Amino acid sequence: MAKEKFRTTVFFLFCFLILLWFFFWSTPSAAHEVSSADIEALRGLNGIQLTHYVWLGCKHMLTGYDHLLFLLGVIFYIRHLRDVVVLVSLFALGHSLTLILGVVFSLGINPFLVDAIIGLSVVYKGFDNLGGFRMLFSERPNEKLVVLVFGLFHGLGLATKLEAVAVRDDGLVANLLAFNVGVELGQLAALVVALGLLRLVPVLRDNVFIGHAVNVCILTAGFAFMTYQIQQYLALSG
Amino acid sequence: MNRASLIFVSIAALLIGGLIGLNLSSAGKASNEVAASAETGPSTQPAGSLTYSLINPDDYPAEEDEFGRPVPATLGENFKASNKAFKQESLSIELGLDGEVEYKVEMQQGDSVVYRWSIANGAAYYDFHAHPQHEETTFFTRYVEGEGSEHAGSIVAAYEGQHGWFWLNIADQPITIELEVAGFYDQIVKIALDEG
Repeated sequence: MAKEKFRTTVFFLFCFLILLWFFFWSTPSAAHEVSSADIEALRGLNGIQLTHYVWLGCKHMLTGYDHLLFLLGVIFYIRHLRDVVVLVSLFALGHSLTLILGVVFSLGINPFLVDAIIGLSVVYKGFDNLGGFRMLFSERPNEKLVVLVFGLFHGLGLATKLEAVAVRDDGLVANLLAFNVGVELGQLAALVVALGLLRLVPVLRDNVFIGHAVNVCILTAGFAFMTYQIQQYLALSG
Repeated sequence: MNRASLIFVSIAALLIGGLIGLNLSSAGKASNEVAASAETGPSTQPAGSLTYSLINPDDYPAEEDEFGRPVPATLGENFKASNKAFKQESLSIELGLDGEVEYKVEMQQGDSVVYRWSIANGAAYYDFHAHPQHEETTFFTRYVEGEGSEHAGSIVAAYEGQHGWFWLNIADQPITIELEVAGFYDQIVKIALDEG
């Protein structure tokens, strides 16, 4: 009983922390733009500004709900830490690759379309976790490959955000790498929180109903991201 | 979960998620509009008015030319050269009990004035509005209205016509309105109503 109580307390503490995070770190209307305060902080900072960019990357990851939800979806039903490490590494590999290439070659891809695809990745993962592919198509796409490919799109999204603020000068590559390090640090922090949550509240995935409910929420949020980004795309480029 | 309930929750998620997404985008738009109107002040920019560029200079990185010299940004619609005489006028306007009056500035399109008026011994209902010069239309624009003992503002004429003030004495005594106008305009005319 005491253990049960402890778990409940920890669970609510987590919920509380996540809510706090939501309220203090987010701008509700622009779900995950780089805030103008950040742009302000970077303005006039020419040359190599490693700590600034590490912080920016970290912050961007932790306030980008789409990245976080995708990550949560990916690890949700993975019980072995080794598999988690493999999948998250593939995701990191994918997004680092396109983040660096995207900024260095200044691909200039429409940020709304990229974000819509990132929303699609969240939809995909929610649907997959509900057993959708097994049930409707009798075959599940290769999980590792999917994580890698969606990782590439998440990296493009990160690249469009960094391009919006970064000063293009000779410090670019170093700053870019610092941003990437920040992204990985933020991802690690999020991962620790998510794994801790799943460990401490095993009912989240052990109980079939609650597990489904969580993934229906992920699915819904994914559709919301997609709709929002597509709407923005149509509104701003139409 | 069986196939039917999977399809059901997926469609429900699509609908609810879609609604949330659309709601987010309209909320974003609304907050942008609020931000814009906070910059322009309380709804004083009706249809037919000129558009101004209002920017936050901090949102624009300074540009430099090849020699590292700062390059100026252009905001052409915020500037209008004038070849008219610069005028400055002060008027004292007496209004009796329940009295009302209009003073109008005749302006060409693009002319501009700044003004301030105050009442030391009472208050008035007022508005600032404009009529096009030609008589065939009842179209007019109202820029601001309210009750009080002072107001100040500026305007660039969106069209040729009479731009000015209406006052109605709401004090329980006669009032004196001190009006100061400066800028580029043709003349100030009084439109006599029942001055009380």
